[in-house]
Amino acid sequence: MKRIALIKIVFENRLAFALIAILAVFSPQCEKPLEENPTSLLTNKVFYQTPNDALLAVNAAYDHLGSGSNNSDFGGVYFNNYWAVQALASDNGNSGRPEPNAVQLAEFRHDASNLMVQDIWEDIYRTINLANLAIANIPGIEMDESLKSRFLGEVHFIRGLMYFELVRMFGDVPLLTVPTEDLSILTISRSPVEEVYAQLISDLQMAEATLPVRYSGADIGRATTGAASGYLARVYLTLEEWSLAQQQTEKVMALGVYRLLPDFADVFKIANNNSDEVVFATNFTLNNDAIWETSQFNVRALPLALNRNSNSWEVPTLDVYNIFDDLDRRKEVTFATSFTESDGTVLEFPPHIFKYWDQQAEPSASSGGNDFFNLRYSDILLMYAEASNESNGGPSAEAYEAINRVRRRARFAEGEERNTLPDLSGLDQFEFREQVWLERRKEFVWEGQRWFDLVRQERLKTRVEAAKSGITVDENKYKLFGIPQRERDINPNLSQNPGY
Amino acid sequence: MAPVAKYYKYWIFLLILGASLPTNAQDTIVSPPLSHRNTLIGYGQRIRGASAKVNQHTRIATTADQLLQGTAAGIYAVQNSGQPAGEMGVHIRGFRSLLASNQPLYVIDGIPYYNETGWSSAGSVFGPAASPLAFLNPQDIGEIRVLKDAATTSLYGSRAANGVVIIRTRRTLPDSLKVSFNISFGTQTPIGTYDLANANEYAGFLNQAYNNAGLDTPYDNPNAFGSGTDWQNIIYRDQAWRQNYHLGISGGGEKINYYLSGEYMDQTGLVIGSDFQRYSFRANIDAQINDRTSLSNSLTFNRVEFNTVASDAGYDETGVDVITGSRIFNPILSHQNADGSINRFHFTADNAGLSSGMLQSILIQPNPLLLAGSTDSKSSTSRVSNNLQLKVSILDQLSLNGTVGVDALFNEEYTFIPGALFLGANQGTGSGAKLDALKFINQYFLEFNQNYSGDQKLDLVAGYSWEGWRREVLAGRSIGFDNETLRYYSLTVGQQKILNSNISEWGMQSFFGMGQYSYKDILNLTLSARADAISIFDNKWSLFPTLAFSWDLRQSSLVRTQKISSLIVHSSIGSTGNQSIPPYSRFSLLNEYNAALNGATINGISIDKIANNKLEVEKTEKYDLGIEVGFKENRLIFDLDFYRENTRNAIGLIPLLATSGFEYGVANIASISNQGLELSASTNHNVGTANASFQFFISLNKNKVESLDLRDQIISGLPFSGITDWSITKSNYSLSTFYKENPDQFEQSILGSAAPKMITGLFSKWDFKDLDFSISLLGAFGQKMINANNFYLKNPTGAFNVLADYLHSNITPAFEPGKPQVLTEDLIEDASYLRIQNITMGYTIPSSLLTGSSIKKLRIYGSAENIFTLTPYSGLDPDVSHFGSLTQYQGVDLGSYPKAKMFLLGLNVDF
Repeated sequence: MKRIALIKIVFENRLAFALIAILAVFSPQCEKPLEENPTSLLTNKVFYQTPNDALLAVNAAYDHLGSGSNNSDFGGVYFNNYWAVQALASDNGNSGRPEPNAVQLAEFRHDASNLMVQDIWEDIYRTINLANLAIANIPGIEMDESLKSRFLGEVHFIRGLMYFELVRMFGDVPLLTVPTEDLSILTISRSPVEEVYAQLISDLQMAEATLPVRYSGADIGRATTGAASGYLARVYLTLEEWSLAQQQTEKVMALGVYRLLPDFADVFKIANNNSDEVVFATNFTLNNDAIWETSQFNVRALPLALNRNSNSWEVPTLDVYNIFDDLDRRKEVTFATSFTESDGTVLEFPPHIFKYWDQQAEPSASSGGNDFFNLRYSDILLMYAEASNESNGGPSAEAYEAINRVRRRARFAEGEERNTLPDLSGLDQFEFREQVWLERRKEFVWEGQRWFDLVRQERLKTRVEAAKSGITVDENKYKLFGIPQRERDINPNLSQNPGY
Repeated sequence: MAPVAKYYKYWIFLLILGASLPTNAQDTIVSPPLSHRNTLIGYGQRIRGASAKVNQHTRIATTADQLLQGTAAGIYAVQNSGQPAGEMGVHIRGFRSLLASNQPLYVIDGIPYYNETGWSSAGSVFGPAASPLAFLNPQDIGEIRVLKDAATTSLYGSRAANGVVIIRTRRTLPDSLKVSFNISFGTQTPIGTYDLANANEYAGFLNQAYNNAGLDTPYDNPNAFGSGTDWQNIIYRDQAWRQNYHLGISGGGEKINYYLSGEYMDQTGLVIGSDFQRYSFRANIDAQINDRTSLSNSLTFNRVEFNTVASDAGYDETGVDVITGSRIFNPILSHQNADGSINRFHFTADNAGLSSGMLQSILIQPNPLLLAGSTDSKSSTSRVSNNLQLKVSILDQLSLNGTVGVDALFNEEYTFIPGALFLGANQGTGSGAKLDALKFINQYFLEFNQNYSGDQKLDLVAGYSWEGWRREVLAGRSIGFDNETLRYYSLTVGQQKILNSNISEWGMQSFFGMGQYSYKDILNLTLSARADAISIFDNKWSLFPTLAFSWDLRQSSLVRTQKISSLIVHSSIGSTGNQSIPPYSRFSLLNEYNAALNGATINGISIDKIANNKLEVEKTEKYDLGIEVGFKENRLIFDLDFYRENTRNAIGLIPLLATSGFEYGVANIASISNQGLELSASTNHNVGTANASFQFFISLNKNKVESLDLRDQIISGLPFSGITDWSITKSNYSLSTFYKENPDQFEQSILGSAAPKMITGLFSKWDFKDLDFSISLLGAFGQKMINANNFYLKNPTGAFNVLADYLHSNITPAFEPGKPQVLTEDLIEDASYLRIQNITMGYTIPSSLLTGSSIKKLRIYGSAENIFTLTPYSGLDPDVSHFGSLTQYQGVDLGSYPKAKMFLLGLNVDF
């Protein structure tokens, strides 16, 4: 072919070439057609920029403690299964329904596939990831430094709290302190208990050092320095570091902001959420239009016979019902065996947990505005009494005063003092320890403490077998829960706890 | 070939039909030339491979995808729902994707179209998805061709794995002026209804159920109710019409040719409140600008308007659908009481003697007539598409093609549900949504064609294209209308308002090339490749190469027998892809986490979806070996294809360690294979003025999950009737397999698969003088269906109306509303079927009677659709899919909008 011919052809067809050239040039090509910008979706690229983003990231972690509004499962860590499992797997609770997962726990037949336990594991790790996201991203945001350190304190508190729950329930666990970036963590293995404790103690100490004593207004309910100190006390109590535990409880008492409410019944009134007795609580609200679900105490614990949205899912054992003196204010607040409807109809039923039902505020019991009390001041007092008794080889006057304050409060019903629960005195170390343990059981029914206490006190087997006839407990196995089978199916590097 | 033996009764049926076909060897020969199957695949290229021309005369089609059902080997299409212009689930050579779409790529006049309705619908209307081709007038289509193997699909690269449907609209040959006017008018009736208990039977049944449950019986004299209300018939229109008018004008001269058309389609739905209308206009213009330059422009404007009712999985906010409602609603109740009040619900405290506590545990089923008649759900879409192609011959052997195409659409959707349909007070719900979508394509390619010494030929093409897609939605929803007079036009009156807006965009850049060498047109060797860079993936570029050859054994004189008139072998091996997952799937996305603090709700935001930057395009290797044999001067042609397709990295939800903070991530997780056999046969006989043609195909496909990452199975399932987790994806089983857990035995039962083992179709057309007659049949065999309607219709609790037969069976009813539903074997039925799809008879007025008038041709015809279905399935229709085209959730029949049995009269006039 000749060059001239080609030029001639191009010239003769200049119109066509010009058209094609115009099409090529004026077609609305994007600058970078293959760069993907999710304009209407939030990504890391546009988030974690402003002080408000930091606040939102912190709030997200609180969400997963409670209602778990953005949870494909049902609720967050302290929404239901946590305290239900604590009651079932102890001498306190039984399943009120033939629900296999709950029955297994109550009868100490549960395995690694138990869905209630798996749900707790999943909720905790979701919360840890939310905390890790905040911990990783907030430091880079330009903002007021004191507010920034408070935010970081809050999410460190939440992370420390989560690892404390994990290490007590499962022993060695995967230890993640950075957010999950992609799918590559699928082969992580378990870290030893000591490392997990070191991490959670450092998280709680960081929170203790940076968090305020109190909040005001809409911020009330966030983690405080007292909450961090109090949880550290519980950590040391679990580790049997008695003098450290005593020091931590003393710190909380020295803050001077906490007190026992005069009447045990007042503690569970919705109006008294975040009262002076509350060191830390997972907050819920009756306002359920924007969050997934309000708290579930009434739905699960109130009797089916009540003909409300109540289901008898978990019920107390007679063993726990019978330890109370009839005049003990806590007995009538914690339980009920009958209920009188407004039309005079009387319903009778075996003992059910009634302490979370604020009948004035929520007559229909259809939702739950009650907070979950992670740590009350009475717990601080009882932990102090216990730690002091152990570290000093016997009860001191201060230790007596601490436990007697809790007993004294339980004597009062609507301002009237009853003739019960006399002040303790003259006990040896062993007797005092037994009294503290008993007082703990009475004080914290259905507050997510019992299995932890029994394991810590090394009497899971004896107590459960005494409370539930026909049940035998393999203590070596059930002092921990099994690593959820779903996790081990996906990750071959996860070992299992003995017996599972 | 087990399935062949198993379905012997269908074969007997087919044989009887086949026996009536002419076998006279004396007839003159009209041989369909084999060369026509040298398929045009796009980009100006032709190749021999596994493809099929779709016969457009097999049925009355409102949308073009309906034509794909039962017309070619290897295409399994399901009419998901009978709602007018409802979407077809089209699966070419089996299922191969989990999350990504399994629908083929539609290419209309060289421009790829989005194959999912989601792209063109704001998504707020109820009912099943509409066809993605609802905008296209089927009468404007000149040819539909389905490309299946690597040889024919390879130039479509990352979108070719599910097959490609090439649609070419009508264009005109020089020097022909034709005006054609087509009109048709039809009536429709439902394909079937259930035989249900009437009022007195139901009252007796309920009495029994109450009695057995220890409750007071509510009805003292059940017989007093008589037959009661037939709710199934009440929701249907007395007359459901379908009318269609089409005017086509084609003409031109040496320089310019044109095809212009206008169409009005109006199809009333069977169910009150549903209908479909389309106005479409088309102008296709081809111009020879000069010796070396030609132009081809295709312009269409259309408007589609439809109203839907809640059916299939497209529930409305009341949570129930009209169709199921019409079956289970209390027949004792009339629509309207004597005092004018309307019975809003299936059960009330008065009519069923229940406490309010028990009523709460019953499915709140609103009056289906009220649901169909008083809710609004309407969609309207205006759409304009244009593409302009220029071709310049630079040299005799070399030409340059340039294409610019735009497809712009604007969609509006409105819904309203009055508060009367909700049990609680003030829950009326209305919504309005607007969608604006734009697609742009710009494409260039060079073609080089050279003949060497007459025997050898080389064709080369190399090109570049880029495409951009954008979709923007603005939507609002309002709940709790104090005054409902203005319905969805007064969203501001609602007490709770939810606003939403979003945009999604993606783009693709591609290079493609193909080289074909042929020797005397006997031996063809083809090498092609396409490289696509897709915005949706972080690893943008992927390459799809293909090698293909074909060999004409007859022409190469290797085969000399006169009995065989032609014999061609073709084979190909190549890689194709599927990229149809939503944009931004690989990103880590943030979402709201609202917490409670001190009695109030506080907002939080964090990540709720994990990133996966390793996400890749799904790749499917396709192997194909085909033989085309012609006998008796090609009077009889057989086409036989064997294929195997391996999909390597199907995208799915991967279960994550909860330790990660996430439950699932999106990842490439599965390998899936399809292998099969396709046989087609066609004959054409002509004796004097009589002509008979016959086309038949049968194809077998075996679908198998080869492997899954990390787990050996994925349990999933969109919920229906309270049942979740019913679909299993597991190695060595097909996709869309049903299963159930047996908690006692700690093992699963696999209950069957929705994938057919065999599909078949037959079309025969007979012309005798001025009369014409055609019949089409289609069948699918070996697939199973969950007849979920029987959850209700065979429910012993009395909470729903039931089948009349069920009452007479040996049951002990007991009232137990809210009883959890479980999937049981007896709900899973063989859904094999063989259907007489269409019979058409026409009469063309002899031209001798038309002399002197301007009319060149006048034909009147009658056509009947969905005439008869032979099936062991006990439901109304085995050819449905509750969850539409979602591959993992095929094979559920629940509340399916029934297909129409249609009778139609039409007129074709040519001037």
